[in-house]
Amino acid sequence: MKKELVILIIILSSLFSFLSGCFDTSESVDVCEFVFTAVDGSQIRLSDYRGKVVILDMWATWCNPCHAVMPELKKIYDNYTRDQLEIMSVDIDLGESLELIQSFIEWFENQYDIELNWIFGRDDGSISEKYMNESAIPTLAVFDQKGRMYYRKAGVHAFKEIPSGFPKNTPTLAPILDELIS
Amino acid sequence: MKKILTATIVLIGLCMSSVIISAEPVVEDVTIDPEEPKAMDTITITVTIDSTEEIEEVTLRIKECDESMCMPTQSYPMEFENGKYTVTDELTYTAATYFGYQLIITSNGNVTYYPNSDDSKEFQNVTLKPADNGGTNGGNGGDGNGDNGLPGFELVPLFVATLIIIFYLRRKRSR
Repeated sequence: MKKELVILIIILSSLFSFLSGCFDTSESVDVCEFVFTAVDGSQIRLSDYRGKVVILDMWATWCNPCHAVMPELKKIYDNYTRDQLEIMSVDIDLGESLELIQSFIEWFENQYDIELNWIFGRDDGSISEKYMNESAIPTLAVFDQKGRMYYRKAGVHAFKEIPSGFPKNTPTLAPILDELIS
Repeated sequence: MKKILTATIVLIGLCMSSVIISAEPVVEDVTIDPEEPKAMDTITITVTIDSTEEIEEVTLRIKECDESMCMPTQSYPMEFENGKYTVTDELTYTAATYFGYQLIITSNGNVTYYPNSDDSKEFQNVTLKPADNGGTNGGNGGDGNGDNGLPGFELVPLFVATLIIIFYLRRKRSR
């Protein structure tokens, strides 16, 4: 009888630890936070965007592949509501000023007739240090509605279809975003 | 009449010279060695600059890119030797298909950029041949998907418990 009781306790305790992993009600320890200065001088915090998917685009004005990603980010921005998704393009080159970023936005909008109407700003070094794992730009990271980093990859990305001129193995963000937002 | 004409010419000449004096530095020539560089090469860039004012500093800024991404720029002060500015740099991105360079010329407190004197984001791009070893570095690693909540570590105690039960039952049968 004693031995059967011991076996029962072992089975129940192992089942409990198994099931507790399935029903994770606590917030993950991987919740992220970053802060940067937007072109209008305001401080932008990831934690202020809980409940929304956030795309963090790490770039610089001199980076041509980064320019190529902007139209794709525009497609994403127009495809989702502001309650669902926000985009933050953060310039990681510490030598570039907010004024330079603003002039880049104006130049790009005039050059390509594409409105860059999401959040633009400048890193103070903390974002690139933490989120640029390959030291290359553009690097795109996707954070879920709880502020956890769901995806990160360096290189150009497309929304749904790979534009001409992009590498054939260019990753697309639509499957990731649809999974998070749906 | 002659005196008036002479005076006019001298005056115009003085005006022109004052304009020339305040002109920004002009990059006359840029040479790159080797002429057809490969990724991972050590390159030497030599620049000839014409300036009526003293040049305080010339900095070379380099970026290495492929069609998908760029590495952060590197900046190097150029050395002045035999009337030319020169710098040597070792390219580090194995998959680079081009590098871009920019000159930042500081003269009389003013900054001029090359290739575009007013545009600090413009670089002169130079095509690179593939590196000799043809390898890739810092390419398309990246992180995969995030955690989706499925248990993993919790399976270990269940597995151990199963083994204990099996062992116990075998012992019971063997008695």
